[in-house]
Amino acid sequence: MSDILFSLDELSIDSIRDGERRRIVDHVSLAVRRGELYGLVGESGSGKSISMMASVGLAASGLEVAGGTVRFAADQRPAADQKGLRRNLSRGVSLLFQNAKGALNPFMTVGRQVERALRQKRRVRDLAGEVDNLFRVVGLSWRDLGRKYPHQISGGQAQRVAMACALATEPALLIADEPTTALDVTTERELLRFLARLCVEREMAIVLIAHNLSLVSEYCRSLSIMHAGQVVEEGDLKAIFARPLHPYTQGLIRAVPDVDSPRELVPLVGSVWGGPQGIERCRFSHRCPHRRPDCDRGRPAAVDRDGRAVHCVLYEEVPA
Amino acid sequence: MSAIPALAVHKLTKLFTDPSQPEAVAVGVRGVSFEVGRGEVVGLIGESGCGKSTLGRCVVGLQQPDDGDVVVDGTIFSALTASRKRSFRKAIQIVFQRPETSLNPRMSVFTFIKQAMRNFDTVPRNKERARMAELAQLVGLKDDALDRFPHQLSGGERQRVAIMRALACEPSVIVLDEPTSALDVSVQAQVLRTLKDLQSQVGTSFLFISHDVAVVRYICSRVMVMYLGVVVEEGPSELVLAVPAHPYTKALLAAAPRVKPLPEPGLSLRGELVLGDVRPGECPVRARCPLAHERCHEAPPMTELPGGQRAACWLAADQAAALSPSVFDPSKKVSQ
Repeated sequence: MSDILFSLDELSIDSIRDGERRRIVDHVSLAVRRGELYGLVGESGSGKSISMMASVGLAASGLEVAGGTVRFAADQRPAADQKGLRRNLSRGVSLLFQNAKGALNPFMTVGRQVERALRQKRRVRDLAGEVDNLFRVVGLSWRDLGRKYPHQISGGQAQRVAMACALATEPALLIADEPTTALDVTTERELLRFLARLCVEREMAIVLIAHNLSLVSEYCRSLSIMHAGQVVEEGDLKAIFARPLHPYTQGLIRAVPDVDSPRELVPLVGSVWGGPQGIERCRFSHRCPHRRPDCDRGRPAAVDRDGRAVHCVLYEEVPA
Repeated sequence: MSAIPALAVHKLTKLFTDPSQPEAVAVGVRGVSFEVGRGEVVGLIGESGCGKSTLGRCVVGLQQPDDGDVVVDGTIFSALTASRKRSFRKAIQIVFQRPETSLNPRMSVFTFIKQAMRNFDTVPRNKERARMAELAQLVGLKDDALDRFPHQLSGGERQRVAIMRALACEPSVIVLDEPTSALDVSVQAQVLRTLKDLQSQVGTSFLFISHDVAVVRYICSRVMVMYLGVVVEEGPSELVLAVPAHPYTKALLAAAPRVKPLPEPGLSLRGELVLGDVRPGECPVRARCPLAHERCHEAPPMTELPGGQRAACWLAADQAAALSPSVFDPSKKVSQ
């Protein structure tokens, strides 16, 4: 498809610790369309942040990209070319992190920080006007906040200032890594609604990394769910929520308490990395209620079913 | 209900003033009263900064309240002398949000729990091992976890150790301050299940502090909603969290993330809490409330609604008045 803006193809990452090599991201593929709010969900340690950071050339030390390609707009290159991928950060990819106060410079007023973000990429004619405008876009006022330091503003305001910095380069893709985890529920909802509106108004794609399924359910169009470095289910959000197919997706939904209808919780057994970690196998089988001998046979292939791809042997032989 | 509640709090006040905004409204807890019955799980919800953790810390005596009493098992805690207080500390225990900071990294789980037991002499020394195994089973820890150190345990296991330590003191009440917020969804579900089982097996009372409405709905029989240091609504959770009477509770509920989104967006508050916008003597929610009107410049009284639900809002007062007055007239007996 031509409207795909950003895609990962079979991205694999190894962690090397004490000479031991472990595959922590295993053949992850996903595709984000232009102007789409895309959710990436999984428990902590499932490799969601690592894959996204590696896709913009920010793989941490001790990690080695073992394979795969990254495509952003017209630029396609092997994921191992981290230096080349980093250049995308100045060509239309912006980042937003969980801890907004940590992302801002504590020694500089927030107004100056937005100013610097603006000047980073191009020469700005009407600096004051554009800074003022950016503040307005994120729902703040420069007159109230511009001269304040990060410690003088609230967490929600800090996240909005970080947003203003991220938007200063007019990105085509924003990678938001759990941007609302540190915020209150009411502020969280406001920020998500704002992100969803940005997608539509600016035709900007957003990858929203979250550990909570219910957070993405309302605003995202597509979704991929990761477990232990593998994508288990990917595709249209509505289809996935209407009928989750992968046992992990089903388990995640059952493990979250529901505000509207209290029901018994069914926790997932075991932990993300508690199972066997061979490369060529399903990594969820140790927690799976439908476990079968052929789970160990090889990495489950993607099966297309009702608008999503599910990676599970349960669906391999059953015709749709 | 038995005559003496496990925990009673009378008009507890503890205020903090921001030195950079001396004329703004002080944050903290202002005159909160409530009771927790034996074996009851009471939830306390609200956004950060509403004073829910301050209340929890005052209740266990980690902070000295400016005013008001904490009564545990009928004993007024704040009236005790320091030496008598010690023996009563046992009766009320707390579990914090982040177990990695509340466990001693240099002590094995066994030593850590043993210390808690010996501190209050809850278990004779020759029975420590047996009691420990019993407690471990109760909170869902494997036996071999007892000889481990905190860094060898997972986040969920550490939180279980923290709960186990609280239980080892054989308290009447345990204050749980956001016990599952730092945990992953699947681990959170496991710990919540354990807490629910505990409540039915041990009969300890819990004060469950959380910002997560869904979690509170799952585990608590009664809930209090706090805003800027005051309780704005309280009552049975199936009422307060299903048919809330206060706009703030409505907004909190509408904002809760859901797997199945609501068909239409609910009530939402305006902006964030700005202390400078709140004037003393008016309804604290007024500055952000979408339904605010003239009357809200005067603080609304707590209104009783059917089913034990209570809300401090003029709209709830109207609602109560609109219902047949005989239901609310205490002088007349209601036959039902």
